[in-house]
Amino acid sequence: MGAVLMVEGTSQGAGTSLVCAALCRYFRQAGYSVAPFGAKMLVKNMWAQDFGFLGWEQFLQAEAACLNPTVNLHPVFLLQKNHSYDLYWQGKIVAQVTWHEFQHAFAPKTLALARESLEALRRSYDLVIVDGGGNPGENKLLQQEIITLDIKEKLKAPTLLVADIEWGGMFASVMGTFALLAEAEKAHIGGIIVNRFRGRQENLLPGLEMLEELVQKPVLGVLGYYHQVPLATAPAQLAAHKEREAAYQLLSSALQEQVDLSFVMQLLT
Amino acid sequence: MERFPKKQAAVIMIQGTASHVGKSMIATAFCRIFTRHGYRTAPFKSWNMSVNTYLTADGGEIGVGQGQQAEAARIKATVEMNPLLIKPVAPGQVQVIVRGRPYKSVDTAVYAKEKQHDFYLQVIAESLARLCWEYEIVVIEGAGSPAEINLQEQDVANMQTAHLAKAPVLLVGDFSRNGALAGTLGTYLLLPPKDRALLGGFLFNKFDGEEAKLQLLAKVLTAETKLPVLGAIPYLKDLTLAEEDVAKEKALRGEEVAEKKADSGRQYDLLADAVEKALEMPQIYHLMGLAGPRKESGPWVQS
Repeated sequence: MGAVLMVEGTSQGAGTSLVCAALCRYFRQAGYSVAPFGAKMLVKNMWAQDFGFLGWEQFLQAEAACLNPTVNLHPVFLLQKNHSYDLYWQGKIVAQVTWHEFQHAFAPKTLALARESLEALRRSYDLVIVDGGGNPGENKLLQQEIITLDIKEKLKAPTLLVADIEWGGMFASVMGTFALLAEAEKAHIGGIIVNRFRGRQENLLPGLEMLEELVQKPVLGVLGYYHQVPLATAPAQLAAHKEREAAYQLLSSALQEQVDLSFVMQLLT
Repeated sequence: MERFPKKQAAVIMIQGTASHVGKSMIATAFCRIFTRHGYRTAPFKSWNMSVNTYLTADGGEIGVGQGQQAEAARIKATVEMNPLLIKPVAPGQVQVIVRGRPYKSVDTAVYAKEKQHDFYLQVIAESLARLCWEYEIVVIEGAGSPAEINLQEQDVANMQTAHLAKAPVLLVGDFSRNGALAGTLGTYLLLPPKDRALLGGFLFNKFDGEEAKLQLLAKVLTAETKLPVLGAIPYLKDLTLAEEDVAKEKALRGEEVAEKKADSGRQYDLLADAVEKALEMPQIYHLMGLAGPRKESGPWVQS
C-alpha cells in the first residue's frame, strides 16, 4: 500500500493546494508514482473532465504528478451556492443540500466513499498527497472537514502544517493551532512549512527558532510568494500548458531549495 | 515618559491577529459610534506603514486610515493622530515621517536595525498626551499582529502603545478563513503576562452568520483565556467598496448618486450602525471606565 502524506493549513487559503502540487511534482521527479487526493469538503472552483467534475486544485495537482485525473482523486465535495450546497458525488451533482441535511443524510456515505477512493489510490501509487481542509485545531470542534478528520484518525498519516505569513500573525496561528490539539493529534504533525514570506529570511530566523521551541516541532522551510505562478487564479483564466509546466517545475525547485525534504521523506518511512 | 496630564481621556485600543482583519474599519466605526453618543472622539495610530496617505489641513502627511477616522469622528485630522508614518518610497527604501513631516529616508534594512526606539516612544507619548487632553475618547488602532515574536522589542505600534495609553485592548480575529480561534488564542498565548493583562476581550470580523459555529469557538476561547467575545461583525463592505457601489448605480439613478456623494458621512453612519449592532457596547464602555452613551443611540440610518 502506498504511503499517505497529509497537508493542512493554519487557515483556509493558507496555501496547502500549492504546496501539494509542489510535493506531487517533486516526488514524481524523484521517481515515485504519486497521486493527489482532495479531502476539502468545500470547493470554490471545479474543473470538468470526461468523468465529471473535480476540484480545480486537484486537477492542477494531478498535472503536477503527471497523471490523468480520475474520479478517485476527489470523490466527493460540496460547492457553495448561497445558503445551500451542490453535492458532487464521483464527479456528478447528486443533490442540493443544506449543511444540516448533508451531515444527517450523507456524512457516513461520504466517509465510506472517501475511504474507498483513497484505498484505491494507495493500491496504485507509491504515495498519496492529501490536500486537507480547515485548521486542524478547529476541525474537531466544528466537524466540517469530516474527510480530513477521518483520514487523520484512521490512518494516523504524517502531516505537514502550512502556515501563512502573508499578512502576519503566523506565529500566533501556529501556536493557537497546537494549543487546540490533543497530544495524540500533535504527534502526527511532522513539521511546519511557512508560506508566502516576502521579507529577509535572516530577520525571521530568530522567531522561527522560538516557535520550534514553543511548539516542539521543526520548521521545515520557508516558501516565498509565488504570485508569478499561474495556478492560484480562477479556472476561467487557465494558463497555457507550457506555463503550467514551468510553474510546477518552479514550485518543485523552490521546495527543494527551501524545505527539508529528507525530513519529509523520513516521515513517510 | 510619565507626561500625561491628570485629566485623561477614556481610551480603547483595537489590535488584530494579522493585517487585513478589519482593525481600521472597526476603529472608524468606533469613532462614529462614540461621536454619535455625544463624546468628543479622536482616532490614534501611533505607527503606520503605508503608501496611502492623507493630507491634514496644515499640510502634514498621515495614514489614510486616520484621515478617514477623523472624518468619521467629525473632526479635522491632525498630525498627532498618526505621529509615525513609514512610507515605502522605492524598492528597499522607506521614508520616515514624524508628525506629518519627512524626518529621513533610509534603507529598509537600516530602518529594521536602527535603535531609535526611545525617540519613537517619546513622539508617540507626546502626541497621545495631546489627544488625551483635547478629547474625551481616543480610539487607538494597532498595526499588524502584536505577537510577532521576532519583532516584539521593535514593535511600538501595539502593546507598547497600549501600555503608554493604559488602554484596554480588543483583539480582532478574521472569522472568514477557518483560523480565527487559532489566531486569537495563539496571540493570547504568545503575549507576556503584562500584555495579556491589557486584553479586554475579542471581536470576530467577517462573521458569516453561522451562530452555532460562533458559539462553539467563543466558548473554547473564553474557557482558555477567561476573556469574553464582545461581538461578531458581519462581512461589511469597506468604505472604498461602498464608493464603488455608488459609481455602479450611476447609470440608474444619477441624481441620487450626487446626493449620496455629498453626504459621504452616510457611509460612516451605515458602518457605525452595523458595528454597533454587532457589539456588546455596555461591556466595551465598562472597559473604558464610562457608564455608557451620553445621549440616545441610533439607528441613524433607516435601512
